[in-house]
Amino acid sequence: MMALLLGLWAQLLPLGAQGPAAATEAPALEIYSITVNDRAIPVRRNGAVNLGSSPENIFFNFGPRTNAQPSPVRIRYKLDGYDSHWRDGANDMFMTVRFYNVAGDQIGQKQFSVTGESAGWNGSLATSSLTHRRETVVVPEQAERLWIVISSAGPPSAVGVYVVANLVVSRMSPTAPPVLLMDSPFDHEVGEQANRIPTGWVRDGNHSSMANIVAIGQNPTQRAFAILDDDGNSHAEWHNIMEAAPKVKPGDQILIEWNEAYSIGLGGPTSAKYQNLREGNYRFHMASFDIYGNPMGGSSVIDVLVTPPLWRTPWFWGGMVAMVFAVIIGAWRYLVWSRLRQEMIRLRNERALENERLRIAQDLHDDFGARVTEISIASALAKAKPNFPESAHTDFDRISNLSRELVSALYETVWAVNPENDNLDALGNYLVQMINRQCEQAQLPCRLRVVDLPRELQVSSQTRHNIIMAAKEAVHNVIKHARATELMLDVTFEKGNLVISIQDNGCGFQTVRERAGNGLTNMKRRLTDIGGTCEIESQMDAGTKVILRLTLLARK
Amino acid sequence: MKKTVAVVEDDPRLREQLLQILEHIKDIECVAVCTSAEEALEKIPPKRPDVVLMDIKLPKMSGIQCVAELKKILPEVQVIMVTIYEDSERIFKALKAGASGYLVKSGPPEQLIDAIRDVFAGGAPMSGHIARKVVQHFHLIGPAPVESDNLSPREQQVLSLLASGYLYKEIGDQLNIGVETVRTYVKNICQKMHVRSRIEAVAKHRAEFS
Repeated sequence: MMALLLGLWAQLLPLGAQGPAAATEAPALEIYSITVNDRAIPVRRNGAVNLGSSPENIFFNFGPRTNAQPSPVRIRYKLDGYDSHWRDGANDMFMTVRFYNVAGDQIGQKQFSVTGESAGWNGSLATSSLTHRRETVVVPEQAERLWIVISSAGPPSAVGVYVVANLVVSRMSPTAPPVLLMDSPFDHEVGEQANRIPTGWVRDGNHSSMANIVAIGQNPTQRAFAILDDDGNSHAEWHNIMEAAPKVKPGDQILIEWNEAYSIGLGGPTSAKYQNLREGNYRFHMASFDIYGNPMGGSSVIDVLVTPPLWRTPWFWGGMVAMVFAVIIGAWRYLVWSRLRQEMIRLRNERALENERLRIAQDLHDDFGARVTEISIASALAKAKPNFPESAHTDFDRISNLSRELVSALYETVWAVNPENDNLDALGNYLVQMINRQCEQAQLPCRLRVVDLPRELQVSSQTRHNIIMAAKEAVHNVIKHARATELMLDVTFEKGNLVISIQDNGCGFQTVRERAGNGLTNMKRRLTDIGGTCEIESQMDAGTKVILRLTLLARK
Repeated sequence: MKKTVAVVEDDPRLREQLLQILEHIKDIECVAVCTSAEEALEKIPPKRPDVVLMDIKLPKMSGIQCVAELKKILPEVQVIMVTIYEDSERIFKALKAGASGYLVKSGPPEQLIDAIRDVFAGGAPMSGHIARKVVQHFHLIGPAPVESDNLSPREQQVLSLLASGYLYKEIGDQLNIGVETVRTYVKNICQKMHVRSRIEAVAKHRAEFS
């Protein structure tokens, strides 16, 4: 009642103050429910609500708290973070054209509704401007009279202001100028007493006092019909009286023109709908307003949280990063593992090959060696027989020499293929053994200076073979050609550099002039094959020195 | 008095030949012929021969292991390894196990007969590369706690000359001693290596079980 009086007071004073009403008590507004896609979302105890991620079809159902005193006049809402203005629940008021027949019964109507706020609405009658509107209707069959009704009879809880000024109704004709049927009552009553009901018009509705005459705008202010509806439970309207109703004929083209301003909302329970909300923090405000849309103080607030979709959360990215990391680690470990497995297979194959080499070597060693030895001894025993013919001596000597050579060739092969000998120590040892034997057979004194060689250093079968063959060739050359009285073997190993030097004190040869024999070429090739070098130094009557060099790197 | 000898050889024909060679050598009596290490350990100890000619490669228990076992029963017996090849690793192991020397049966047959004679006269020849391994071994294990277990300076000299490629005769000339004496030195060197190896093995055994 208080609000109504205030509203009236404001209308009677064209420039009247329309600030917030002096409501001392906050109107009690409350959320009834919140739904997302028809699913109810509970409001937490702290007054916040979490809508989850990417919510759709969100409804905030709210309104006055039951038994709230005083009940709010007009309830508006705003979602901070989404809305820039206060919004109203679904509402409308009407400008209606009604048609009556001769008997006075209504036979049709055409409604032109207004909803929300007009473009020129500015919070008060004095500061708002009017918007021109122009509509046409065709007079239906049997219609005889026409009524203009300005009404707030929309949804029951609609409240607000609807101002209609400069109302003009005319009949259009394609051939003749329009015929004026009804003119704005106020335009001819300048200076008349305010709020006097214009001639031919009447207030109506179940709360007809809300139909008013107001002054709107400035420079100039002008008088207008207004529905100032502050009662959500009833409505009011202005319409012309039957006697003043313009007569029409069916089929007439009727033009209705007026200027309007409005601000309409709801006074009761309503719902606010939002289609989609991005993630973020929102705040839903419900507040009490007067009918002009000015806040009356007092509002309720609820915090609204929309969580980011899973793929936008730090957890998700953390998880992704962890997963990618895990995949990379996994892939890396798989690679390492498969490489390791390949290496193991390779080693296993290598080991199998080595074992096979060893088996063949030992078979040769055992069986073949024993038989050849038998031949050798047999020939010696034959020679020892009492009646052994002198003439056969040479032949038997050859047999035993040949078999001995066979055994030593066999031993050489067996030694070379035996993987147990794949190290530098074994190589040095074999050099000593071989050169010792060669010299002993040739009765050539030899001097061996061989440093201790590392057993850990791997030397492949191929490398060993080439070095042994080259050294053998060098010693062979000394025995065959040098006419030496002494042979010297020097083996040194420093910082991975193996140097094998075979020197004699024989006749030597001129390295430049003398065509290098096949043996010398062979030695050089053997060393080149394994990445080493072979130098030959010789001077006439000053002996020869063959130097074999090879760099051996520890194999991991 | 005749020297007594036992032969351990698994190859029947080589065994036969070896016995034939022994027949050519005067003052030698063969008291046992065995075809395996197991048989040797059973038959040889009661005969107490002066010398055992042992094939280095035998079917089950190896010649090397057999030497070690035999020396435990007959510490004074001279075991000479007989081998087709001068395989330094095996020969060296046999020497450590207690062999007094070795013979290469695939060498010139006359040399083989001479070598067997030499064995009875004093000791078996040792080649430069084996000597080299022995030198390395003594280097590796270091000086012995008991002075008498170490090589004497003369023995060291002989050993290093051998390792440098000198022949017995050359060593004799160099040191003004007879070849027989050189042989004796070599035999002693082998004996000392065996002793050292045994001490080493016992120490190792103690270390493992203490």
